[in-house]
Amino acid sequence: MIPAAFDYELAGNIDEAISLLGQSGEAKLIAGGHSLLPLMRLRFAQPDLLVDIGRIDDLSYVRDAGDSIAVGAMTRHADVAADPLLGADCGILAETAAQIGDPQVRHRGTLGGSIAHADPASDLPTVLLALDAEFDVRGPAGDRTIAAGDFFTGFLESALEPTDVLTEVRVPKLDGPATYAKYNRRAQDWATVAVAAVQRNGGTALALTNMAATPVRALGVEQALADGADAATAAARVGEGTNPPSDTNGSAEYRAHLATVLTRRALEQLSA
Amino acid sequence: MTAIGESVPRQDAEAKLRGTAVYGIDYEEPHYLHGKILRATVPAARIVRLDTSKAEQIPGVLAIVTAQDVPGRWGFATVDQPLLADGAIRYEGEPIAAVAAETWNQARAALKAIELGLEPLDVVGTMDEALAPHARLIHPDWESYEMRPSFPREGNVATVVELERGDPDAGFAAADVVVEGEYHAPRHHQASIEPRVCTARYEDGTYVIHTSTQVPFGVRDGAAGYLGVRPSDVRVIVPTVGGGFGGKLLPTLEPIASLLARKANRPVKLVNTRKEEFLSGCPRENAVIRIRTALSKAGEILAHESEVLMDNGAYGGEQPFVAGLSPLIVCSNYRTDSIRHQTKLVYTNTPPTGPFRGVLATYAVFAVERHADEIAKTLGMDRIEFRRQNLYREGDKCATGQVLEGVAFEETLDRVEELAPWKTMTGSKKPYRGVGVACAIWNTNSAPGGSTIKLNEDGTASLTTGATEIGTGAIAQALPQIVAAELGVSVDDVFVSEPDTSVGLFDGGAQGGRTTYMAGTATKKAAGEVREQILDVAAGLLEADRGDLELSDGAVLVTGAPDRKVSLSKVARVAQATDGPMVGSGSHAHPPIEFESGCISGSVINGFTGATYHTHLAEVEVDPDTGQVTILRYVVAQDVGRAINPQAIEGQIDGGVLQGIGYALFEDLRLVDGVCVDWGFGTYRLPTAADMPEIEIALVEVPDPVGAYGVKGAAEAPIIPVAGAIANAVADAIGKPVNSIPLTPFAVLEAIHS
Repeated sequence: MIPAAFDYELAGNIDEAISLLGQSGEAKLIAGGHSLLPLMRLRFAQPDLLVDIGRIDDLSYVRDAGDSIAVGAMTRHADVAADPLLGADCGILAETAAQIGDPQVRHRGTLGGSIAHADPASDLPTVLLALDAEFDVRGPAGDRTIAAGDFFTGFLESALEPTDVLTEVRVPKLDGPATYAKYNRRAQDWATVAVAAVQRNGGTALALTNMAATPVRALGVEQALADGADAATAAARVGEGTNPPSDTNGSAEYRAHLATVLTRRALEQLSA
Repeated sequence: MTAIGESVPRQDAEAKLRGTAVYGIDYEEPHYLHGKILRATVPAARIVRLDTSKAEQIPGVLAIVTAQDVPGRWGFATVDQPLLADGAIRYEGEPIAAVAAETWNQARAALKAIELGLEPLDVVGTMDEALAPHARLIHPDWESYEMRPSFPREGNVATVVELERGDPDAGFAAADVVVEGEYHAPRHHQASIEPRVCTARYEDGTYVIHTSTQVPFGVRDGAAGYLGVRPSDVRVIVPTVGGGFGGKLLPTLEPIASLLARKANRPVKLVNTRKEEFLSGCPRENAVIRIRTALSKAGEILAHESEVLMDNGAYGGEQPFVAGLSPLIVCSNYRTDSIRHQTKLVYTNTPPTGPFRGVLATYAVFAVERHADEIAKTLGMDRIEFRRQNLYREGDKCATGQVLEGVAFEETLDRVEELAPWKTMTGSKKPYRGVGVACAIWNTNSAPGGSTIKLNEDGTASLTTGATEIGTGAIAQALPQIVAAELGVSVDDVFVSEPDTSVGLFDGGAQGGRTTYMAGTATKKAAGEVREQILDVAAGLLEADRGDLELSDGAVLVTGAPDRKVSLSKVARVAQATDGPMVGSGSHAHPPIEFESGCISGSVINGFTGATYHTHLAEVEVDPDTGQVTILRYVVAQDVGRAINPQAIEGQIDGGVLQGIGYALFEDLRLVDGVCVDWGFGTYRLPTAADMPEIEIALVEVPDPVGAYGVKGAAEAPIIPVAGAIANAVADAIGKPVNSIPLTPFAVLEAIHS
């Protein structure tokens, strides 16, 4: 399929991008294009204007920010995967970025794009949710920070306004183990189901990929663990609050089963 | 004689790697028009109205064709298929009308402006529905259709193949053990990267068609049949083909483009979208196979009974011929003289099925080899021991009573054993790990072929043939290697022209592993003719006896006297000046095979030609929690007769095994009430390179008596045993039978808990 007709503007900096976004009610930001373009091909998205921030280099960085690590929204997956600071202090993010798609996708797709697209089948939003990451956003009214837990509001929907630009992501430096257990039938595919598990601040946080309209926290499992349950017992509560889809890669029942299996395995790996 | 057996690089490698090769989809003619096809969106309906008058008013539209422009039907076997739907729609995706316009958008707009009135009919979506008593006939006029040759058929059964030999009833009566099994296999889409595409023009009474096809002469005949002209009034030329796998054997777009081109008086290009490929792409048929085997306690096969249902889809194509191969494969591998078999090819309101690499053998061997493991298990025999005891040996008879020569099952088993010793592999069984083997005998297609070779004045050689390169390397390397070996020239000094039906000798097409086997053997004959002429001329020039001459390094030398030589360039010039240009041609057809006539009906395939033998071994690990199958090891031993180019064959084995893995684990072209659910790669999941295990390969060379240098078909077969080997490994891993493919995680999980 071929996308509907659209206009195109190249933004030189973030403020220019925000102002261009304001020129049309149906404008969309494009960075790596690896989420938006497939939607446009299927005509699920029909923006009349694309604002390209792909040439804004100063949004691509990984910096030490004290207790946290700051990652620019335009940082490509391949750069996240290879970054030594993330590798040392927030390995789960680097390891997950390395599992996205194929090398071509990882060299084009961006961290910010994956977050803003808010696809419940994406890997990075789930991991960021489990990490309690913070997202810096700039809009016409200035800068603000949104917690990952408040960001994902629906299927392909987020707390971003149409004129907002996501600029920076901050993740905590970890001192405990963390893992992302991803299941796909075929190499390089989207996750059928995945589980992010992070041990932090004396507790365990878990989030799920492709188990609802948004990435979701596995609050039942977290509660069970807090109450002292073992991995298998806690994992049995993973279905609470989920609403998994059914498709070629698995029925809702199969996904629920997978989530239990993956959660148990992730928890066993954390304590190994 | 060098070049035979060497892994020389293929001539088309650089152009394909650099992206400079001109594929059918790249080919354009000046002022060509964009064609588009209006396809049915329902699987069964009566057409009550088809009005193109509004569409004709769209600016830029130069031609619209419907069934009125092309009355009549055509078919390789049964003449059952209109080019454009005439009064009835029998499958979703069936072409109803076609337009040609200056731009793609105009063509698209014209399609939307065609007014179509339909009265829905009950959908006969499955074989069960089609075979039910009082089922609606998909072709109510089936009796009036011509069939060449005339096979048994009845209503929704497009053809019946039957075989009976020996006394199966006595075998079952004497049996100690009877093992039964029912096996199911899905539709399987070829998924070539380049879709079907062609460009046609009408010029001085001839239809000139550039098309991405495997069988230019078949397309010529099919197009001529629909267009009502002589085959010679159609000229088919083949640019680089971007994959076929059987999907580009039949004429599909070519006659439609030809009609549009003639009506518009301009060239017309037709390109299938990916969705059209899935809807109208003649996938491998879904099938059900039932096998019963009578055995003695000692593991001797006393009788074999089998039944196959093949889903034909809405029209026949060449499926009635393919069905004739069924008894040879389903009743095969294992020695027995008491056999009863029936195959029914069933019409349904679904897209016509058709040829795909390893036609029907992929599921037949899956069934036969799953069944063999079940037999071994029932008898308490080792699976390899059962095979070694019962697999065909030299001089055994296949299902039709043909006596097999050059049987290489033992050699393939031995080579697999060397790479993966059975006792080591199965000795210490780990939980949810399993090993499976599958053996197969396969046929090399023996449709005839011919080649012409001229010796150029500069000492190079040009080869002209109707044979077609579809990626196997048969034309890009094997045939040039043969010419180089026979004439003593470098492979780089052999030029092959693109297939053109008005120029090249007839060829049966790039199918069934036949190109090197048949066109290669014809090419060796042609080169032999040229060689004789070279020797005649050189003997005079060198004042030497013909018997003392040898051809090497682009020259003719006197053996033992290295300074007495003459270049081929000089030979060619002298010959041209005295006798005229030097040319040789070679034609080749396979001699008839002997079988027990009268034991089989409904088939034109009565035995094997260029039979090859195969053993595959797979080791898998099953995740008992998710049902995921991981292939740990994969070993192939394949009899190729003679490996002209070992690297090329290994490449074909890699590709064939990966396609087989897709069939075994991933792919299923699903239909619901005749409606195609999977019409893109989003839901139709092909395995990727990253899903590919390392393939360990052993080539076995048991020469064929007919093929040049002993060569047999090599490229088609490696897909065939894969599903059987993997399914046997999975069954071994989980301790439960798995008799339906694909082995999705859900199916495996269900089997574990069954």
